[in-house]
Amino acid sequence: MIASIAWKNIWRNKTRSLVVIIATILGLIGGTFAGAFMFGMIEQRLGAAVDKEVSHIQVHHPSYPENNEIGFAIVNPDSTCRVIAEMEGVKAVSGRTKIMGMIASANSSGGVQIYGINPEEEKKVTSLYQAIPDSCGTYFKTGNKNQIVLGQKLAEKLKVRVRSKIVLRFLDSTGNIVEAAFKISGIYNTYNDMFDDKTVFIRKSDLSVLLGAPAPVHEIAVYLSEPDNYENIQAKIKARFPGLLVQNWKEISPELALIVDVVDQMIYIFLGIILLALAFGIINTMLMAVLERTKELGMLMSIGMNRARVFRMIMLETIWLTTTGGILGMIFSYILIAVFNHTGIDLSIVGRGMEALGYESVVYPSIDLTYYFVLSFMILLTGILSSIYPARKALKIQPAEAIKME
Amino acid sequence: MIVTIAWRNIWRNRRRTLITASSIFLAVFLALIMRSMQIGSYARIIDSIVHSYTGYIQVHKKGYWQEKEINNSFIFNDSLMKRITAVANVKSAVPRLESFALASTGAKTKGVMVTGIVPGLEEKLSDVKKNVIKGSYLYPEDNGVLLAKRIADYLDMKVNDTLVLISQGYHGVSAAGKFPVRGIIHFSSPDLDNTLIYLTLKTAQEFYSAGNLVTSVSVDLENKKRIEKTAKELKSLLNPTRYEVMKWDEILVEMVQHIQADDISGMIMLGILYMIIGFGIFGTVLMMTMERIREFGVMVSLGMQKIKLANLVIIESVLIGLTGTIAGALAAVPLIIYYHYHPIWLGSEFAKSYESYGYEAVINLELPGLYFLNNGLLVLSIVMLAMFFPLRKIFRLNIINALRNKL
Repeated sequence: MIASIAWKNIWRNKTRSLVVIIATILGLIGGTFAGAFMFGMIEQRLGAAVDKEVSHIQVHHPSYPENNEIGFAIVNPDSTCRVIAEMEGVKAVSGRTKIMGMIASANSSGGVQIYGINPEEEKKVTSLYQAIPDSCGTYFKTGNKNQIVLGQKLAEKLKVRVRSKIVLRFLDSTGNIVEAAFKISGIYNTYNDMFDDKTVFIRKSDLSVLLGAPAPVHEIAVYLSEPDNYENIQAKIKARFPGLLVQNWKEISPELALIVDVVDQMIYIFLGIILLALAFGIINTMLMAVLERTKELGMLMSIGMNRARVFRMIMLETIWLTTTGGILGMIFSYILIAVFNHTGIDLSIVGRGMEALGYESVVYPSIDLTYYFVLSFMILLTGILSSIYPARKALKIQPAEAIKME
Repeated sequence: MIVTIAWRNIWRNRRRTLITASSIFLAVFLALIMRSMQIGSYARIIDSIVHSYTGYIQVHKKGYWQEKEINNSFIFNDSLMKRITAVANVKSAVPRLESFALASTGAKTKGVMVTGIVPGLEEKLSDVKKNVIKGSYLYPEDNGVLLAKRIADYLDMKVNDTLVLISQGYHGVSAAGKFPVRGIIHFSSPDLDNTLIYLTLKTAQEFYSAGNLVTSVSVDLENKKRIEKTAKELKSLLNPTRYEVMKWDEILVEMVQHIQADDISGMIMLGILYMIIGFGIFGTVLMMTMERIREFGVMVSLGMQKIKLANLVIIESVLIGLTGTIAGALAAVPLIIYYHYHPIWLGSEFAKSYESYGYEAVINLELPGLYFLNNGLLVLSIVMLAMFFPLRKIFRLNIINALRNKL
């Protein structure tokens, strides 16, 4: 009963209520969309990092991450790989050789991280092979020796194309310079310049020939069939190989995991600020509504409406006003995000700066459903908090004096 | 007179004025702090790279920027030096030879950027000498090397250790050499700290078999604000088919774009905040007009010109706007000044995340400047926009209806 009276009261001054509702709608759309935009961007980055670069779990020699020496390799890599691959929840594993080296074309040269891999194994672990456009060759042709796959950014720097020859130079474990010519088989583009500029892939078998010994394995990348269960599987691998360092993607790229948390907090802080600013408008409007209805409220009280009810009525009016804007704002945000999630937002004008930092220039905004729950709660809280002051004002009305007002 | 009336009018309903003014206060306060952080951090990022490394303008051989490699180098002699330094506003011209190399200790190897510099000349442009934290700076004719701190940490090298450099020299000649470590330098930019090593120009030229070639000449300016004009003069001075002249924002194009993207996202956030404040002001102004329609009617029927009434209402709103804005600015100033002199260093985890993007993990606040004025004007223009509705009401005022308290 009071609820419906409160609802009708809001619409007695349409313009005023609409101003507040529209402000709430626009504020929420702005905040939610900005949040979804950032989340989308980060999720894309995270997805790309896990799928194309890091994989879910990595195993190293305990000294390797601190001290990337070629000598800190995993002992018995083949049997280790096999045991991990047979574990429950593990989809595929790939043993990689990692060496710092120098790449040189006729035109230019640069420093690179050389990954010695088995292409068949690696394909199951990272989707980098899908990041090679059709016009840019293939991910290792069968049969041919000494092939290399490198990034678009590096290819541009070296001024090389598919089938060009380049020279790799690196030091073996005894400090001798190893130098060999490779033919470019494919050029990938992960939209992460920092990765594309510095990472090249060659076959482990070619590397073994160059080193004159089986290529050492520095890193075992593990791809899981149940990615959410990574902590359990990590613990199992750790228990099986206590002498090795087993890390999940969050530990390997802490800055990525951290950025998700940071953005999460930032979005809620920003929404808090928006709602705080909205609260000022709501309080102001409701205060007005109470003051101009002093006579009416006095009348209601003098014919027997008790103070608790008056308090409740004003409170409900405020909450209806806030939640109407809030619900509409969330619905519009949801639709808007769904539309742009489908079409994507092209940022190629500022794209180079984005890609340099590892972000794709087409962003697909998206946001967790839990966000809407938290937001609903925040909106309700705003409504309740901003209702207290005007409702208290209504309580202080002296019916005897109020009804004498003109 | 009219201002006094307006001032008294806004305090007729003290609560409403205070609520509106405090919402403006909040917005202005937050906006100023946020802009100050953004502008200050950008300035610091630019400063940390331009001052410690790139310089304001660089001259290269034509095409070097497209293909940054040692074969795209040019001869730098005294006559070229004289021609460049003769340009107005040019303070000094500093030649460098830059190329890539592998730095190795035997067991560990790292890709580095070798920069050949002229001791005695380089200090005029960059802070390299000030940044030496261990050992000594290079002396002229030195055959030693300066290592950036993170490279030294990674390779586990100390002063007087021997570093092996391997690279590809001029016209594909293979280059290898041993160099004693003279000193360790620390750069505030993590990117530079992770990649730079210095040789003397002469040693670098010998190492790369590059005769008397250089890859870039960095130009320092007397007055940084006249960079556009100086760049233009340098361009007309140097043969465009042989040389390219680039300003720092062309050299650091990705950084500049990232700063722009960040700047825009900050402005969008502020835009949303200001929009909400705008609605708040509009609501207040709307209510002020509605409840005073009878008063307006009386005033007009007593002979007050509508234009004067409009003036009164405008001044009232501007006064509310100004009160909030000035209070917000006054509250922001001490905070900004304090943190400008005590920059906020981010904690270890944040720091990692920042540094992975190549930025120093510090938040620097810019002292009050133009952005204060811009934000103030922005709030005032929002107030003006909100005035549109009541002004229309005043000019269409029907005295008879207004006296009956109807619109």
